[in-house]
Amino acid sequence: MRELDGYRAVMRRIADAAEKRKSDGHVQDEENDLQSTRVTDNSSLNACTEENSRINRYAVYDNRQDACATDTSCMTTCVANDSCSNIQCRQMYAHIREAEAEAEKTVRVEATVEGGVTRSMSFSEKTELYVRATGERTGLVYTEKLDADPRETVLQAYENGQLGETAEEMNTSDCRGALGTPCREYSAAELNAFAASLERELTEGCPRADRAEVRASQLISRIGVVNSRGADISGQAGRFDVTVRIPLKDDPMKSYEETVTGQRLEEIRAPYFLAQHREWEQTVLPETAAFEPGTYRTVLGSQAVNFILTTAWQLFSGKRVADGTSPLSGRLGQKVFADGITIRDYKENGYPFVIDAEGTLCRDVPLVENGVFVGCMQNLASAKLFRELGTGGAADRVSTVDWMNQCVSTGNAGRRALLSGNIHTDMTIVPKNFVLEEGDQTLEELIRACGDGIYICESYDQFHSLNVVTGDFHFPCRGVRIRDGRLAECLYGLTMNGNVLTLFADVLALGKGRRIEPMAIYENYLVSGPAMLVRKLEISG
Amino acid sequence: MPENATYARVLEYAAGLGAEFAELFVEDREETNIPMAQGRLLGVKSLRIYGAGLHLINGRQRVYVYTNDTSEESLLRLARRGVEMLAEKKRAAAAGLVLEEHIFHNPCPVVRYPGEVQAAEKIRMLRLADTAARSAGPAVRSLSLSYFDTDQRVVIANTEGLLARDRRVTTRVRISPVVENEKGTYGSMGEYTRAQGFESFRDTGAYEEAARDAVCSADRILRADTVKPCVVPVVVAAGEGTLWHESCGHSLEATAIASGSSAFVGKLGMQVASPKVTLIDDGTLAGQYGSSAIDDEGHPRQRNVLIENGVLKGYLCDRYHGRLIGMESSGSGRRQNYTYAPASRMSNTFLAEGDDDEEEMIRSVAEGLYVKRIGGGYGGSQFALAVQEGYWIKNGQLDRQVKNLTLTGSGIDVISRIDRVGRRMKLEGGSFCGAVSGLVPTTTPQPMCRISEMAIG
Repeated sequence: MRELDGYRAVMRRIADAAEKRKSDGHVQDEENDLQSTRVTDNSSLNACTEENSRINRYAVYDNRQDACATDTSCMTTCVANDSCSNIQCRQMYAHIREAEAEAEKTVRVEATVEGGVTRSMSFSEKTELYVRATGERTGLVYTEKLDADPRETVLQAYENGQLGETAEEMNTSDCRGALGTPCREYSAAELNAFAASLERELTEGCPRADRAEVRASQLISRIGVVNSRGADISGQAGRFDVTVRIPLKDDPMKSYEETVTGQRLEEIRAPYFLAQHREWEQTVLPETAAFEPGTYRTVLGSQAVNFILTTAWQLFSGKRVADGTSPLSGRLGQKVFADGITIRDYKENGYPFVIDAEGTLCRDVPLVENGVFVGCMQNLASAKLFRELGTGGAADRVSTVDWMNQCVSTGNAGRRALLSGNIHTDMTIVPKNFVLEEGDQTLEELIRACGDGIYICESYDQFHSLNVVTGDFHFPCRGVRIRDGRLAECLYGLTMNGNVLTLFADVLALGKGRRIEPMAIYENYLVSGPAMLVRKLEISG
Repeated sequence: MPENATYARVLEYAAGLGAEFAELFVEDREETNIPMAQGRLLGVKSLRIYGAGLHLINGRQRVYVYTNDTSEESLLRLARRGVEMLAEKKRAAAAGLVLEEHIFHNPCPVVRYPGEVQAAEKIRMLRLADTAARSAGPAVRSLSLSYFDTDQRVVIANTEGLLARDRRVTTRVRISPVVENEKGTYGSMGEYTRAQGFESFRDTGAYEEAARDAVCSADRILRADTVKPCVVPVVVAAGEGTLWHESCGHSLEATAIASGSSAFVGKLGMQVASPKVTLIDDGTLAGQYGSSAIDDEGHPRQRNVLIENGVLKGYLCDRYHGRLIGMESSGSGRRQNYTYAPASRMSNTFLAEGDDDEEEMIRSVAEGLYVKRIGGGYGGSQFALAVQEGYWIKNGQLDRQVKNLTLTGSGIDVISRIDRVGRRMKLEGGSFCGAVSGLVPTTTPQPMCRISEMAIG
């Protein structure tokens, strides 16, 4: 990636310096030199804690810088010049053991048509840079200022790391090359024409609607990773997202809404939305007068299942499973869900992914196979945690081969896992296309099989309703009473209460077809599941 | 950041190509994040958010384009691209756009800008909060803390000749403990949030108390009882105004009104709530998280009375959605950053003080729920709010703590059932509201109030 050009030279220099130190045996000398300085300074500052010594050491660097650097520019130039006369600067750079720059570039074009009129259009092009450097510990700089000097940025990351206490994993593979398929960039006019045509078809195809809103967008994303360990890799992927909203003519506060994604715009067609809309219309019925809270045999619609998956995917985070903050901790290899429940995280089958934020190739990850918990989503750090745990730790029922599979990154490193008011900088675990596999029952068959119960057709508040440590959930929702295998009256203001482990253990049948639910706002991953019939679920309201 | 002359040239160029209205939003924001987990410092993270967005409006169509290459050449390219997307071009505007800089006072003064404070000092503060949380009493299984500061500088210029600047500084500590006792394990979150510089940590006791409270609250929740879903009177504590934000705030935003998805459409001047309800959104409140000098369209923030004595008085409008419903901006055009087009959003949204006695509010309830703290929620025509800390009221007294409860209902229905509003307003630190233009800082202060009956479950 062009945005990483400036960083390649810096990474090479750091790699060369590290190599040279190794061969010269200088590392220990410099460490000793710094150690003696630290002790002296600590005593003078009367500092006693481990942290203070680190902070003071940082101050030592600052002091040296002030004392000796007549030209502060050498603080950056000597990254590429180890003959700099400023010995303190040389020492500082000599202590950057490894560094990495990751660039995430997105180009997005979007058009929104409503009621036959183009409402809005947008275009954006943005590159984000995450730069990490490790001396003894790892520091990070995130910048959108593309003209920032790469050497200064690496140095700042290194300095940030000096105050930390942890060293992060970086990709050690010498993976190289540009992967992925080049995508043709659509013009806004093309997307607008598509949206207008789809909007017309939908309005004509829905007798109870007089307008629809269609938002069509193309997103081309590219990730590049270059580091001092030899990785220099980039991956590109493109996709189209189409979101449709169709309000009822006589009650516009009630509307059908769904997003569909595809790698070709032509794949996204009106008949699918029309069929889904017809299904949705069946749930808009007169409200019932009374509802008795209790435990019901329940059909969960695909949207309601997705809202649970939106946060429940965290149960399969390798980090959580390893550190005991997932209810699945220690249960690898065990039967945890009902027969027929299979969950996988796909590199395609929705959004396309090529490499993750650490430069690891993305792959399909089996998580639950026929009810058995078989794997986790891993990044480099969580895979290391698993290696350290050993098979006697979190999982005592898995084979060595299965265990070894957990000890490598699955290409699930990312930064935007959940909503937060800040730029996401922590390298964490993020799903790609987190899919609960479908079954073979139509929704009608599930409702008939339910007999007497409730169909939860819509739920709300996907981000606040599940405690990922325990798996307990309380989702606000609306539903339809099922009587004699048929939809009867509408129920508003419900809450479904339960635990994810119990819920999926109680699944009796899975529906055919899956909706998708993109991660709100960031749209950087999606979850997807079918409707399902569960033996019992507590419903209040 | 680009120079003023660049803004004028880009805007003039967009207008010349056929944009009826063009606005540039340029942002340069520096942030620091210092996370800590299990007592270990995870490093210092420096962030720089930098870029520009161009908002074009012709009639009822809008175009939004953005980039983080703010060179003049790039911005001119962006302007051309944006205008090309407009379905209809307006007659070319006269050349010679003059930008007149307007000075607006930011209601959140800053004493110590975060960038002027050494990282070591921030770390020391975090350590104190960590110690306070661990020594709160309950067994802490894991504890994560994170320090954040933000220093956002924005410049907004438009083809009406406006040039406005604002600088918004906030500081925050998030405390995320996982607590365990004989009842099990529970993860919760507490925040200490201020629209101030680092001086917000001068009062050591305040943030240490927030850290201790996050742990103790989680411990209490674990020990709480459950209650069966029912319909009862609900008393909501002072300072817990999220109820208003979710039950009707979002429905009063012009984005919801323009799309026809709000229960308040066509009800201006009508009685929509109990006469005890006066609902205000005020982005000018001094020192509040939702306040700033100007909104993200350069409009000065203002006090907007939305409902007065139960009568609907107005909506929250940004320029574009206001235009769709025939109303002027109310200084409510907000966005997370330059990557979002502005939309109408809340700021500090609160129920005005009433004249009811707070103690009587509970004393007169035979059986009901007292909500001391509200967690996250969901808004719209139907809303849902998690009760983070709730107590069962029996015979006019708090009987026991209860858990796993959600308040649900239809906003317009619930606000008609307000039968008591207390006298004492209580402010709160604030948090983020997520919607169409991203996450924006908001607060939800309120006096204690009571809903005559409501579904809990």
